[in-house]
Amino acid sequence: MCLAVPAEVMSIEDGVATCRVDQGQTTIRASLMLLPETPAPGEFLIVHAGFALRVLDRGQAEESIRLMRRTACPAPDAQAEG
Amino acid sequence: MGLKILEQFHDAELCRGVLDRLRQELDGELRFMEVCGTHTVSIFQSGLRSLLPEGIVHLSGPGCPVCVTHESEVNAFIELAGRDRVIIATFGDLMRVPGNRGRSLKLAQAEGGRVKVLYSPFEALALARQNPNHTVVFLGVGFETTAPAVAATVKMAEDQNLDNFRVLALHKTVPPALGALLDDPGCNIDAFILPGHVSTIIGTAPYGFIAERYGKQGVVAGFEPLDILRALLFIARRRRQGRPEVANLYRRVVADQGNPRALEIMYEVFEPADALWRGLGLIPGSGLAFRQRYARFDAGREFGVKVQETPPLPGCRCGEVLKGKLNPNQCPLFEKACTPAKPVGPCMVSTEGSCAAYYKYQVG
Ligand code: SF4
Repeated sequence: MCLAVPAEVMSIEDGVATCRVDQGQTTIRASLMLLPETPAPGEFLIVHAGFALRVLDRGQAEESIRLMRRTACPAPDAQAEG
Repeated sequence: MGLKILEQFHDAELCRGVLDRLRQELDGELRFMEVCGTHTVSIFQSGLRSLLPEGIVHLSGPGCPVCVTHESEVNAFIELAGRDRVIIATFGDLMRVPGNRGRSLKLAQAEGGRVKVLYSPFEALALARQNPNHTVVFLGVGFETTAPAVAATVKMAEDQNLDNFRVLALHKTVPPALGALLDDPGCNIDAFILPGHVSTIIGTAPYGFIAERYGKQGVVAGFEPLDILRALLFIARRRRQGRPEVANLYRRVVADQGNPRALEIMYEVFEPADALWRGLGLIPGSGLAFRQRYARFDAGREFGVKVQETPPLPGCRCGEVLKGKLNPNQCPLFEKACTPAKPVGPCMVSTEGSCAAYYKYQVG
């Protein structure tokens, strides 16, 4: 029930975003009422029960992959986090 | 470009690398509990469960809102569905949850009760407009992920002057339930993997007590195998270092401070209240009740709904499963009297329930 999906914003009208999900197979509509910021087309929203809960932070996604690559790398200085 | 970056979160080689580090860091048995149905499913579906190093024990806690919906609450849904001029609006997952004597909303619907399954609470507003001679009651079940959406819908109903829309407010909040588990001497938990979507709303501060008061670990994690492994590695390291901590390793979706706008709307409409959890009993401050200003939308008040402790479903061990005291396959009814096609308890009904996940992925 807590399932939320990442959805790409295509357009926004009256506080509701029309978004692409499942690699563009389906579109859904998401109210932006709960978001502190207004997203731009091309950004990804985390959508639950018809409401966007958050704009996906692409920079943070890249940062965690970078950290994990360092963590998983067998080099002795690989104390990436923790 | 799409979600290419996210695909890397199930990179098999990277997973192996993190798994190797995890083996090196482990300093004894580590019992971790996840409290989110999406984590439960992901851990089974990805095969991660079978790859975990020996000594890491996966417990699936009260993380599925459907599973923790109390029998007495289900009885209230069914009773409301039988009332004249009432239409129940609900998320689909609640339809098959058993109340007393095997009754469910699905059965109530088959017997003529008006029950409508919706994807979003705001669809209930259109339903109310289309049925001016009925009262539409939305079943407000779910954690902090869902409660702001329901609160926003209540505000929309107010803006639209809708006078035939109500909510049965039975939302539950996760941090007090974690406290109740840690207080239970029978629950032997070293660390929590904290729910990703709930945390999107509440952030990390409400979990601080896990480290401060109980000296345990808590990590907000995403749902990909790599997210979960990374969280376990972090937990193992911190434990070895003797540094209990609550950390956010899911920053691509969860800001440390959560979503302040969603919290503001949720707490404008609702206030903390006690709540009854299936299997866990009454947990003080773990529910959300209507504030006085929005009381006219409160179905519980209007219809005099009383939620109280009732004897558990005969034979069902969901309570112990939800506390991580028992694995689903240790319940005598598992796979025998209780299957997804004919569920006895809610943990077998919801696709996110521990018993359903055990059954589907053939564990034990
Ligand atoms: S197997 Fe069925 S009866 Fe047993 S605990 Fe799970 S849901 Fe309840």
